[in-house]
Amino acid sequence: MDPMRQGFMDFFDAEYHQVVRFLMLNGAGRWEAEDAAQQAFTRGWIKVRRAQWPLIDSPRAWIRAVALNEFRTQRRNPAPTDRRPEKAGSGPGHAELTGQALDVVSALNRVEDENARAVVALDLDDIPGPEIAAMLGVTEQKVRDLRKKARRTLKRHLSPPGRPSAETARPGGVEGRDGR
Amino acid sequence: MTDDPREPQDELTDEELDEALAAGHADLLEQVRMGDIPISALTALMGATDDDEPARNRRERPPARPAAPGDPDPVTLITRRARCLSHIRAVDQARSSLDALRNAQDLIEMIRGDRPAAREVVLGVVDDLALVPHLDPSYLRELAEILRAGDIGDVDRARAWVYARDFAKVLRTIVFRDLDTVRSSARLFGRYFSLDLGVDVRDPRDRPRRAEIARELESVRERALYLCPREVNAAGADLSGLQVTDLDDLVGVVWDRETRWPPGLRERVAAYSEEIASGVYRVVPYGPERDPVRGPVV
Repeated sequence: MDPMRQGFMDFFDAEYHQVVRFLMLNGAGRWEAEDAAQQAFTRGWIKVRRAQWPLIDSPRAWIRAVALNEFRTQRRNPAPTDRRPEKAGSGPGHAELTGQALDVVSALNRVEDENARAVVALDLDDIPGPEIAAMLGVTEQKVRDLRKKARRTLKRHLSPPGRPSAETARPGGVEGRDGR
Repeated sequence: MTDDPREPQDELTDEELDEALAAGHADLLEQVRMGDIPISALTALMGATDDDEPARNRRERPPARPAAPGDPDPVTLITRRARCLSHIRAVDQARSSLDALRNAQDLIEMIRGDRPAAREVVLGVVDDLALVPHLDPSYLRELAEILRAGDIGDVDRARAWVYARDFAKVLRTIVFRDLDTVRSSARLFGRYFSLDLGVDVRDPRDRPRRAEIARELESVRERALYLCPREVNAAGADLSGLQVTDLDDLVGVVWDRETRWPPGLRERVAAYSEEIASGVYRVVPYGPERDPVRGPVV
């Protein structure tokens, strides 16, 4: 296989699940996250075919930016007959999550500013601050402000690992699951 | 649960927050990995390539009729034809994805229904799915193996069902993408021809309407075919102002040594042309097997 294509395959292997997770941290349900991640990787693949992939300076930040944009666009412009269960339900499709994952996703949902949420999710994926700023189209100072704001909310809604959180302790928080 | 479940003095420290986030982050990745077969996404994106597009049949046809006075000029005809073909390709792709999705959804029902009498039908559907370029054949082989085993147990049936569901999921994404392409293609197409194609391809998740979508796609295709110039005789024509992005758009165009092409295009066209009469050539899909340098251009 062509080295660029092989490189992209390796990138896909390493990043696909992480991008799905990144989108879920940004409020996407499972299906939405997978759809948006697939769209983003498909765009990446098209760039590979056009030999433009090496021109992207920070592929990890790029793929997340494209996926997040895709997800937000889907959310704002849903298909008229979109009947996916996760959209029909009350939440963003996290019923299948359990334990600490559910805690973090639920707590992040408390962060109202979507860019602040994105900053935390990007921090967790080790995307450097300057790349976050470029990706969100804001200054690095704004990134710091958003981070601070999000963390303040998260501190109020998360518990240290091992201690039951306010989120999963609620009825139905881990319904039908093994409750890790 | 209140909006603010914790008093300020009970808030996490920075270290505790980092620890909680890291734990949830790792746990979430584990849960994401558990519930998904990444190969599905990979095969979906591979569906975006056109490398494995099957070669079209080549048929011997008589040369195009000579241009008559009052005919639109060849550049206009080629551009019009390219738009038609591009639109038809988008519709064909969407139709084929929709068919595959229907097959995958039928398969799910058949596996769930566990009807031994329908096993041949089930295997037939698997064979049909194997023709879809977006799906990973190794997964299909494994699915066929499970189903061919005859009296399958609950675990195997569950596995087969998961595979079929996964295929359906991949195909659903592809169908969405294809229908979006048809919509945007129709917008461009309609604008070019100053007509309203009335494209309203509905959401394929709305299963009862699947047949309706298929009918609509068929109707859109017919209209595009009707408007598509069947052949273009560019012998002796000046095509230097032509803008094409894909050699496929030129398939069927007849030309000769007097035809003027945009810079750099002549050699590529020559490599993808066959001689249909002395000194007269026609662009064909994928071109004859020959060295472009020794092609018909002199």
